[in-house]
Amino acid sequence: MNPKRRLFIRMVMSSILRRHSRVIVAMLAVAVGATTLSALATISVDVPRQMAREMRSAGANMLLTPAGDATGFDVSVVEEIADEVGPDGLVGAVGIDYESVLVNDLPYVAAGADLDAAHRLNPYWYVEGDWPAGTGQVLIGQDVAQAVDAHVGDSVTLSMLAKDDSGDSGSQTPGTGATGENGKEISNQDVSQAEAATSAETAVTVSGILETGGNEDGFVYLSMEDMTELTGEPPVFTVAEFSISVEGDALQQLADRIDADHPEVSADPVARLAQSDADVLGMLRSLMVIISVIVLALIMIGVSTTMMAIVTERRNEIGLRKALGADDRSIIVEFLGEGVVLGLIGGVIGAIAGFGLAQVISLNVFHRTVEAHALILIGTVVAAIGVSTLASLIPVRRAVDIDPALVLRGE
Amino acid sequence: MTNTTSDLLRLTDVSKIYGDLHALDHVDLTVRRGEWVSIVGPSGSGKTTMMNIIGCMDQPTEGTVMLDGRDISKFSGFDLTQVRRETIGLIFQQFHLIPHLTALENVMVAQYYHSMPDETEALAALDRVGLAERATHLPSQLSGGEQQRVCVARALINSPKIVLADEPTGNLDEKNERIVLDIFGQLHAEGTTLIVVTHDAWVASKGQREVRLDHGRIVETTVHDDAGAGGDEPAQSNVVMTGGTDQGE
Ligand SMILES: Nc1ncnc2c1ncn2[C@@H]1O[C@H](COP(=O)(O)OP(=O)(O)OP(=O)(O)O)[C@@H](O)[C@H]1O
Ligand SMILES: [Mg+2]
Repeated sequence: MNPKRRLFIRMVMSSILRRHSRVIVAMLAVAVGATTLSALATISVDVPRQMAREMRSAGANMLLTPAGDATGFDVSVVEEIADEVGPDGLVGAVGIDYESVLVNDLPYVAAGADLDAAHRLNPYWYVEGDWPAGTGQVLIGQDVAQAVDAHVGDSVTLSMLAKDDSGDSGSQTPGTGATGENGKEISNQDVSQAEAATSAETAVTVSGILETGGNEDGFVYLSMEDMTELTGEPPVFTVAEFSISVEGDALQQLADRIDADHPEVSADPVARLAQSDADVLGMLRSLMVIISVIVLALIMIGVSTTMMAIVTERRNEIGLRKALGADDRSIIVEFLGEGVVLGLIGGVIGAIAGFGLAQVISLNVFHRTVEAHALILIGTVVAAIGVSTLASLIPVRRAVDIDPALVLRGE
Repeated sequence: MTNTTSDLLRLTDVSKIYGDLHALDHVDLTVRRGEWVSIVGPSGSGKTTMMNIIGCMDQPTEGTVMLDGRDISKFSGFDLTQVRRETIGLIFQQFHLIPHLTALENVMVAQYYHSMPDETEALAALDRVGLAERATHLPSQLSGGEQQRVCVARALINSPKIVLADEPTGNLDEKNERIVLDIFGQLHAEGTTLIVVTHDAWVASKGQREVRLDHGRIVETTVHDDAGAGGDEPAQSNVVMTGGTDQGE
């Protein structure tokens, strides 16, 4: 390295290292700002990214209902269609048998299904307690739990409502099940109209209480085995939910093909819950961007003020340097050099601390961990350098205007 | 005395006016190459003002300043910086070192702006003022006398044509004063031009010529024996009045 550059670095570094109190304040301002920036960026990139991924795989986007007047379809149809879609396109599928039941003598809708498949399809459902681990355990909706005063670990009695002759009110499909807006009303009307005559009775344990804010809150989820035992009839599905990783026209085409290939069912694409949630994520992100801009402005003011104080403090030194032959350019380069180093050190500290902060916030608020993104870390350092350099510009302009003759004249 | 080739510096009818205060009032002064000139005068008489103009840190309101064959009185700030860097070594009334740089680094700063920092050369300069051992000390770890010696080392590091010293010994004890003056003697012997502002009669007597300022005018010029540079006693002097008496207020 040429001796001039070496002395330049030596001057900048000793100015920072040997005049710590002031410099530490400026560096702290940069570091705190960079921490906030890095944390915000990490959270606003990583959390929505994870959420979006989960939401994309969450919830059904195609429903299978019995065609025509039929009240159910064969369980094998779900597997056949799942095979047709293939493992690449299929995120999850679950067939559900909805039946009207009495829970501790109150009428509700029971949903018999492969509960593991249902869990995979709805990973973000909030369950107090656990998903059922096997037969004899059920998941009950929050409304049901409240009405029958059941808690996790309690035992409840399930019994069938007697079917009337026509057979289309008692075991009537509750509309489109999980996603139908009127499913709950219909099913509740159905069960309340029905005669409370019981046939079989089963005692089951409540493993968890489900809270979705939707129709599911009024359902009881139990395994297909428990359901068959309760109905005393071979398993049949009233509805099947599919999550398929295609959207729009492609999905409609797929539904049409299924309709044609399987006349006993009718396939219909439905809107995902995730769509509206994606908008919320977008808004969350915009909010983060606005906060980041404010934080950047605050660092700028902080660093600028400190730099201003530093220049005032170093008037004599600047005058002296000019008297020794420093031209305006050297003065600018020296002070901007200090700004760059301040930004670099503060930025590196802040980028790392910011990731830690993002981790803490994410764990506490979003209950998930975030990943470190090299781009965010580098971006934070670059932004810190940029802002502290920019903030040094005004003070540096002032430094250039210092008149050596006045400074050296005396105290 | 007005031989252009041997003149390093010539002030012609120079005035510096602040509002209605004439800090310098129609000053004429010529300094030959290699000459040692002492400037004396009461406080506020314009000594520092004159040094600043000669040192290219200030410009006269009126008059011309020829330095090394160039008229610097009309130079721009940038050109003045250039001339200052190339031709002048400055020693200030206060010690003026950069507080966060070591003695050695302070000397190297002058090299940095002049040409190329050279640690060996800078160390040699510190050695010359007897501070080789204190090279890595910060100014706050040096005594006033030592700090001023660092300033002297810094002023001569680039071998300037002219050294301007404003009260270089004003704050020094006798021992440090002697060290500084010895170095001035050596510089003079090497042919460097020296202009030294001082209140001290003994320091002033070291110069070949002593110029007295009062109210911005040169009121008296004393020519000392050339031998004066070596002796301890004030040398025999030859006083020349320069017409300041009738004009002086
Ligand atoms: N920038 C300025 N603005 C106004 N007046 C000034 C300025 N600089 C100097 N003066 C005035 O000019 C006069 C000469 O000042 P100068 O500093 O040259 O005196 P000096 O001979 O060096 O005094 P001292 O021995 O105390 O250092 C003083 O009266 C001073 O107040
Ligand atoms: Mg003065």
